[in-house]
Amino acid sequence: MKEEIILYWIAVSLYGFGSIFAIIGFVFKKERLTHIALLLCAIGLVPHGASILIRWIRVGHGPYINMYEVISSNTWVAMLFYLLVQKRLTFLKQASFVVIPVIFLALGFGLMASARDIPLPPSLRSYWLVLHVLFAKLTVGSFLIAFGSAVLYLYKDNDKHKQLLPHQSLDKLDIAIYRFNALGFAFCVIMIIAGSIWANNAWGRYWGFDPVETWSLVVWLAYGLFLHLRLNRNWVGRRSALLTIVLFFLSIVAFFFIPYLFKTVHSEYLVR
Amino acid sequence: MLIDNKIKKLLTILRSRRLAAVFIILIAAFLVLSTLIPQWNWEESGGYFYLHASYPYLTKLISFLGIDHVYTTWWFLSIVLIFSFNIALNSYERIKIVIKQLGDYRPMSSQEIAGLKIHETIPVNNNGDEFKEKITHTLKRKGYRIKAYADGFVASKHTMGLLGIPLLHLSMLIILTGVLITGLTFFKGHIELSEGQLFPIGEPNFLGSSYGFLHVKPQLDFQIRLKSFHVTYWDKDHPRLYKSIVEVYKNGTPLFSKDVEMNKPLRLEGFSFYQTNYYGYSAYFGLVDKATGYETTGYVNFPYKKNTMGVLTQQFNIPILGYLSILSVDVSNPDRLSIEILESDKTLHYNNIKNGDVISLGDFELVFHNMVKWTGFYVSRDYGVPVVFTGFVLLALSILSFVFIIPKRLWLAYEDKRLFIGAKSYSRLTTENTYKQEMEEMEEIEEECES
Repeated sequence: MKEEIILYWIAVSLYGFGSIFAIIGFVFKKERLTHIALLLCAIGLVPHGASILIRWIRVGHGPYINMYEVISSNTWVAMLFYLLVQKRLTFLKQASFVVIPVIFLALGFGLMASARDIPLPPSLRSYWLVLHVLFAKLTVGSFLIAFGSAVLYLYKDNDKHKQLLPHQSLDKLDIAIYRFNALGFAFCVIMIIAGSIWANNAWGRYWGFDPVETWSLVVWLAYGLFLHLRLNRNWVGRRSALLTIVLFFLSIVAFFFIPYLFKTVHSEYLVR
Repeated sequence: MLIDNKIKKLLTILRSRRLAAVFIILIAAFLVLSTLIPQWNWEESGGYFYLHASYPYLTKLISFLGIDHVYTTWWFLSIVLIFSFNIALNSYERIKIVIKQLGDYRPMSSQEIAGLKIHETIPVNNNGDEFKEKITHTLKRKGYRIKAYADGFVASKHTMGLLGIPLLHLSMLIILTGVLITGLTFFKGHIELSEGQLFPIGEPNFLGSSYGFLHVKPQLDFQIRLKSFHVTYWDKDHPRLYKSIVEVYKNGTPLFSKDVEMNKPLRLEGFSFYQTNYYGYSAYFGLVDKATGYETTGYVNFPYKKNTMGVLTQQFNIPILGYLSILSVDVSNPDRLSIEILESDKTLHYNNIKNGDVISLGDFELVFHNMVKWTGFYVSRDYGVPVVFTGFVLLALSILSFVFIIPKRLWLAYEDKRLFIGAKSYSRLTTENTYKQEMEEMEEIEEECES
């Protein structure tokens, strides 16, 4: 228990310093500081992952029962996903001033959430649940990168800044916003489907209008609307970026705050 | 003619993509609303009483509009129905376009290629045939299928990606159809079984049941018997496993035995039996006719109580005799029962009994055989499930295909020692970057041929 907390705090500290470096690097246009931020976060993944693994072994199940476990593992996946993506799409390095602080703040929220050890209840013993949870993490990771790209796009789209960051292409960011939203949309539907199959196996119903279920569907419909508007009504550029920011906040509310606001199947263990 | 025009106008409105956006927003908004107002038990909720005390007209309006049961209101179902029409009409239009695009292999002249949004012209001083051959080889290596013509060719790759969006719409229609089938034909019931009890599956034996509008009541000719029920715990507060071992009988003959756990239901002739987390003690009694020796047996289930502590009580009427019996059991010693038998208000018998004890009641004897466990099962039959799940698979595949599979098609024409290379964009997502690698490789080949 003690080692797990120490490792978690080491990761929080590294991400915290990473956030500071990323923001300063972005504000003062110091690419080197951004690189240091990314390096700190890459190092932070190790103690963070070890902390998750220690807990996994101790409680005997994956990180998906209470909110602390969910946030810790979601942020780990999101950070890993972002670090891999920015390696390939180097123009997304600049989005680190958004992505890293969001992950850091989420970890802070995780610290305030319930961290009690809860053994795996019989209803959660299902491979479909593992898939459901895995794709939920990938969904959040994709939406986060789209959000970071959208904030960066809006910043760059400002005439004053267009001159300052000539090496980056707005078009590339616009495509990144679309692609990561679409990817999140695909992951989100797989998450909903896996959850639905699990619910059907556990309780004999594939849909129960549980508030978290319903809000996840709302998120999926909202991202579907984003794609519809982009492909059919040519919502690109600023409009696309602004909508992405709104949708990201909607998804955060749906996945992380609704279990606190309503009594749901998901809140039975998440927020206890 | 006038009617034709009106129908055409209606179809145009119905298939409008703007209308689709409006419906997505409406459906999402009503889904959100449905989570804010408790559905189906709104008038029993604390929120109702609070709101009703201050704004009685508002609560009446909510009930009148059906916001307390959104999913079954005529207006919500109408929105979903019109949205389904919209998807169907759009799919039809899009499928026509996609079929045209799939077969778009006609050769293009150099002027036509130069008119394409993505195009490039490469001067060829050397042998054009050698260049074409190398390009063909490179494109084939990259997975392109080539259709050659006298002065050029068409190269295509991932054209199946064009089917992504029509398939997405189709899968949504399939899911909505499955949901409709579920709504019309579902059956849901609940049973409680005691260890050793043989249960004939049929309508009168369900403790609670609900049906879809068109559902035919189940007529089944099999029985299930609960051989044993097991519950294990991680610690005193956390259950680890609920497991029932059941035997299935048909016409009195045992067919097979199966372990039913949460997430591992028993499937039988279209019905599924799901293990619940409800269980308790059950007293197994027999009523013996002293004259004939004939015994009627039955189970008395004590109320469900998780991690039971202390004493549980249950009342039941003794069949034939009609006496009221009050049972109490100390859960720390469940094999001993306290029993009180009453006729009107007069106590006929009051004692502690253990396994095998007999109580004489006039011409009959009440025999307490033993204490067993009972557990609950949800029972359901839903013809919509396979349809919905088929839709789910198609939906996932279609989204992955339109996100990851970008259809590509290149045209090449040779004229006056110049090669005209052009590409078509099949969606708003195709940019010059999509074909950047191909264009660069062609330039490299040209340089190679030159040297």
